[in-house]
Amino acid sequence: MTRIAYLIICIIFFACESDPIKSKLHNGIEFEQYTFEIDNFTESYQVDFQNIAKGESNLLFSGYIFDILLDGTTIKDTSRALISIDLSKFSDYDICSSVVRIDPPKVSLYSSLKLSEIFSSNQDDLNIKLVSVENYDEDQAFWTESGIHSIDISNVIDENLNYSVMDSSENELIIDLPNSFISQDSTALICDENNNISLVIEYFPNESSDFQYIDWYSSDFNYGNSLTPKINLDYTKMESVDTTEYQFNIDNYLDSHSKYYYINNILDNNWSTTFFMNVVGLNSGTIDSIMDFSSLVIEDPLINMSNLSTKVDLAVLRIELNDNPLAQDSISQILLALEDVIAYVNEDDPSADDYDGLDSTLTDGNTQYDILYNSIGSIIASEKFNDFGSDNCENQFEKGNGECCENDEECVYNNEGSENNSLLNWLDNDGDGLWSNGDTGEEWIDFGSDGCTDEYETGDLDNPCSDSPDNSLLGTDPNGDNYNIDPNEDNYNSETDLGFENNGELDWTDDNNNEIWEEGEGEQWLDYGLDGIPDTYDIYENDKEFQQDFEPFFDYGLDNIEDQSEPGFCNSLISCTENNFQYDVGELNDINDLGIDGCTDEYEIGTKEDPNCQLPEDGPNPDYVPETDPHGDNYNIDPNSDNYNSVTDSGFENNDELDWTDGNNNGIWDEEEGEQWFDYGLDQTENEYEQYLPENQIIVSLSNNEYQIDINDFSEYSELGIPNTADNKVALWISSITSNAIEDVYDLTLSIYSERQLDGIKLKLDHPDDFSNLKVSWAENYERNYSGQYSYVEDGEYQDKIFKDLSLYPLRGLDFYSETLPDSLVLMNYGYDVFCHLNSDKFNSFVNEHSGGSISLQYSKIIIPIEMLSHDSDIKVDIDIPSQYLSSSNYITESPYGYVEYGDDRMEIDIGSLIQYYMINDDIPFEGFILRNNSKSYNFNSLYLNKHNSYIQLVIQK
Amino acid sequence: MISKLSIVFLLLLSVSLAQFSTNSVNGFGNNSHIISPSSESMGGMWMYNSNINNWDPLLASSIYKTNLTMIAVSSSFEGVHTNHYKVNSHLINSVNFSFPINKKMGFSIGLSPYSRTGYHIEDSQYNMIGGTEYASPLGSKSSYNIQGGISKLSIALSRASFNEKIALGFKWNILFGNQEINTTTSLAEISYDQMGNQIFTLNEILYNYEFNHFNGYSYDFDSRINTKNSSFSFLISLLDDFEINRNEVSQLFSSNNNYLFDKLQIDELALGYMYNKNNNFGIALEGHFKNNIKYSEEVMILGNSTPSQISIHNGLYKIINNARTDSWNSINLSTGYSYKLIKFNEEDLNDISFSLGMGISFNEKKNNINISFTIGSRESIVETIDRENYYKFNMAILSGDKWFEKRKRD
Repeated sequence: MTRIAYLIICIIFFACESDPIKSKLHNGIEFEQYTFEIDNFTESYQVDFQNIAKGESNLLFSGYIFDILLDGTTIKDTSRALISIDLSKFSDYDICSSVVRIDPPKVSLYSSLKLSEIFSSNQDDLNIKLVSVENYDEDQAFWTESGIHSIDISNVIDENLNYSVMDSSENELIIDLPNSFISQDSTALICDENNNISLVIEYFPNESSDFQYIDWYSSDFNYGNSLTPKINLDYTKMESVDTTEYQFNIDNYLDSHSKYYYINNILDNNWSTTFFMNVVGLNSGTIDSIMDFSSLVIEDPLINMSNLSTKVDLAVLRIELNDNPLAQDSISQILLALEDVIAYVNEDDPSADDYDGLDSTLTDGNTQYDILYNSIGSIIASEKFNDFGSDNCENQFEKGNGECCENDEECVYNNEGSENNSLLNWLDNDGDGLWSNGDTGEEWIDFGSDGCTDEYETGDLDNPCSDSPDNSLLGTDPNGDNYNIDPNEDNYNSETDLGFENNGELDWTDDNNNEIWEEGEGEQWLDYGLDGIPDTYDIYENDKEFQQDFEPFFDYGLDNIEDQSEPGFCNSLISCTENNFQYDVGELNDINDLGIDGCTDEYEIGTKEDPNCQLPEDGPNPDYVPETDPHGDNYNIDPNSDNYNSVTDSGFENNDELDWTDGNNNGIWDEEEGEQWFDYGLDQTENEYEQYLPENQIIVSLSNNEYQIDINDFSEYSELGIPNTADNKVALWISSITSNAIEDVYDLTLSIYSERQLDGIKLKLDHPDDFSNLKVSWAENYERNYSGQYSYVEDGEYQDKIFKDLSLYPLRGLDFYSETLPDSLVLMNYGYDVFCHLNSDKFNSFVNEHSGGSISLQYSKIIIPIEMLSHDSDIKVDIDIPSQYLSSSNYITESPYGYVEYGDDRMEIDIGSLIQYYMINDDIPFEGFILRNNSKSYNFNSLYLNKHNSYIQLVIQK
Repeated sequence: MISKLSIVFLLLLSVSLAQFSTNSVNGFGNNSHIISPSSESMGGMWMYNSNINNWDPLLASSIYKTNLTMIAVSSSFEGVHTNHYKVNSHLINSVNFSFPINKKMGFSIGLSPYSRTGYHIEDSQYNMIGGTEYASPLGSKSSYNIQGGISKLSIALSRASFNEKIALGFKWNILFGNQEINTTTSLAEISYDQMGNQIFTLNEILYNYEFNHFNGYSYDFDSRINTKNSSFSFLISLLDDFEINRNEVSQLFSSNNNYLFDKLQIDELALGYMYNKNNNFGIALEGHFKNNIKYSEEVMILGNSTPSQISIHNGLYKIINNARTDSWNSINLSTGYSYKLIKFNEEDLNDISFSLGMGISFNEKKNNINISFTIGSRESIVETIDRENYYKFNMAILSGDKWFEKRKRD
């Protein structure tokens, strides 16, 4: 009873709905959209020259910097790059104390320009001086009131330093520094604080030069360190190096009982593997890899009747110790073992499958083709056969007339030919995407994958093309494959300025003068007023007057039908292949599959190496020999047409079945009886090679197989007794080890005992334990060379810059521009620190009074029309941010910015995250935006913004 | 005797949703005064009920009235239906333990919710954001996931004086709890087809997250003056030292703020009168005032302050005793109604309810089971919702025994 009560309670409680409640909430989250016009609140500003610092610019400039004023006046000044290197930053490194050798350092500078092009004509334009300057800070303001820089660079130590452009990088300049920065004996870099390097990079090109200035990536370039200036240090110092080598090497085999073949490449995993066998035509010596037994022939057995069951010394293996003295010092004992030892039996029928006339399971030589089936009728083994078809030759050796070829001239197999390969072989020389005269190769027609144009189309996709045209079908597209993105042909064309659809304007004619759109009057518009929402009764709503700026209209042309709804529209390049300006499968007629040479065999002239075609009007090549292919381009992968086709289940080559007809009923294959088979038995191997089958290989007994060489106290080893041969009756061992003190080598005698005749034996000399015995390791001091580029030194997790750098040029005041700058424009210029202050009291108050809630990141932005950029280069505009802004969120890594490309008509900067920051932090007052050009592009590019129609858009929580 | 298993079971169920009303997505959630089924059945009274001797574990001044050590658990199952949605929910109302100190004094400790949420709400349609001369119109649609609330740990002391002519009760409540508010807003661009239908293209999703940790205190004082056949009651509840630690994440930024409201303010006020013909029949009338919490709106759900409420409650009860002692001891029957006026800043909304209840006492009146059923209808602050029709099924299990009885020495 209690359980039932609990169950009822559970059912009641868990019957509750858990789906979200769909309802409007009282004072639920709603957003508002605001637009703040800022026409009158954007101004250009420039602080006093004495307070301007530009040392953190991403770029440095050498040469003539110029800017173009609005009235066309060009201003031109000279800029020099000052680059200083603090060598004392290296003081904690070996390089400053003692190394084996150090070269005079070099400095690498990187430019966005190809320096090899600049210096190809005249290298004298660039002058690099070594100067002595007072210590300075990068962020120091060093301009005087008149705009002249105050850093004294007149104390020149060395003029015209050598430089070169890096061979591997056309953007890298290498500057050679004098020897004064290294010690006299070239064993240390002088890292004193007083020995800092300051370079002035001057560039004075001719006026006619295309490159009036060179920009250099500065040490403050903040896209990683790859392009910042580097000091190049090349030095050698002593270093302890761990070395590992093998204990010994194989010297040679001596006194061999038979031929032998061994691998002596120490890097090969099969190193020391040796075969003792007498192979016809192959002399003893080293081999590159494990032997291939498939075709080799043994001339004499290794163990025959004459030496059966006797000890046979196969050879003496001579090894020598590692010749490295340090390695030798570490060797005291060498442990050896024979491994991977296999013997190959010399018998007439190693697989014991020769037919004896009685036993039907013996299949070798039983004069019938044998197949072994399992209990469910599947083939599990069969005798070897050539699955080449009735011609009994592979495609590569087919002649084309059902016969087999015997030389290259007769063989017509060609898997690389382009004629009749059912693939388009075409070079679009004019790049128009269609076949046209002048193109190379096979002609195709853009009639779609169905293979026919409208007048031939049937509408039946199973039989899509008719043989005769029906001109009444033109344009009707019965097969529905025409690619057409403007069926009514009313799209706007900007080149001809014709067409109405998507022309950005309302094309409406109020024919009945009722001031509202009606069917047939062209493009429809909606009289929804300023907010774009119906039934809000806002300004302009239902005023019977179209407001181009904000009321929605359908720019569909006079038909008032958008392209997608126009009958016949199809923009799918996959399903609509006719007239889609690309080749699709099916658009190459068989008669046009002529190959890349563009002509059939009878028109081919010249050779394969120098192909040409007879002109159609000249007729076929009179010298053409029928059935030949002068250009060798006929695609043919089955000349005798006998390949198996799984679709039609026809053909014989590669059908996995023996196609043999015993024409003379003699039970064996004869010429002209189809596919040849081999009466080798189910092991598919001739008796001669059955010994190499894994199941027939003999595992050799190795006795205790532990051999030891004591280097320091060597005593000869000898084992003349016959080891236990185990079941396989074959044993192999090292019967003696002797030392040749004169040649400092050790001789190992390899002996074999076998009660079976053997054709050969494989063995490997190895060590019982690789890790403790095979190799030796030791530490040794080496002179090691270092060559590196450094722009900073590691200081814990902090990267401490070695370089400091800045550009030296005269400042231009904002008043210099003001004469040509109308009130409607705002100027921004990084080099002269002219920035834009956007300061609307209304907007500032709005932000400061708004607290909490969310703001749209996508719809909150500053939008300012662009009047012009003075230089044809793109720039980035950043907004100044509060000091804690970047650290206040893990998701923000940089300040709000906008990209301006040359030719853009307006600049947009997303400010949602920044405004959100101020809304979250009520205690930080918002005092407007400061917009500055970024220094990653030409620093003297002037951006002119138009105040008119500039505004801030915000979408913010109510 | 209630098994421990059933208590654990009911406690586990307490994690479920609180009753949803569009009128309670404000303040810190639904903070209805928690009452027992025997009070609910008399029209939702705070100070009178249908129990024998008018004993109620949730009413401080009545605790002394039983000589048993009592454990009481009450739970409710509620549902709200509107023309827009239908929601069912269930919750634990209270767990209470009380015992007598002497014949005139009693003590209790209990746990009950002060305010509750457990809402997952989605805007039923896009809210329009008007376009401007420079910007197209947009639509916003939000979903709200509001979980958590404030619990109330209460320690109460009851005392009777003047031959029980006057009963006083004091309850000290410790308020604590957490609340999470996740809101997700989809911003979509609005375009139109040629029929004028709006097409929304989702372009941005905005996230906002709030986590509130609450600490505070409240004090309840209630009293009753008994005459021969009548009694007069008074209750006042005060809030004090209410502190909120808030972590808020708006889009990419987070902030932490602390709010402390240390000004004492009235939370609830009630007056009541009951006429008892005898011990087995009574009729009562109460008037309630629930104050809106005068804290800054920014600390409240969606920035919505709570409404104040004024209500009257009228109900009667009848107790039927059983002379046989080997079966149930008594059955009480009760009914009542209430009328509330919910006073939002913008408008006043009414809430009318009718309730029925029954209780059974058995095992020498040591154990009681009370149930009540209430149906009601209230206006909604949301214009598009006509009325919220609701029902509540309440159940309380009260079990007592003599734990600390003095034994007479022979």
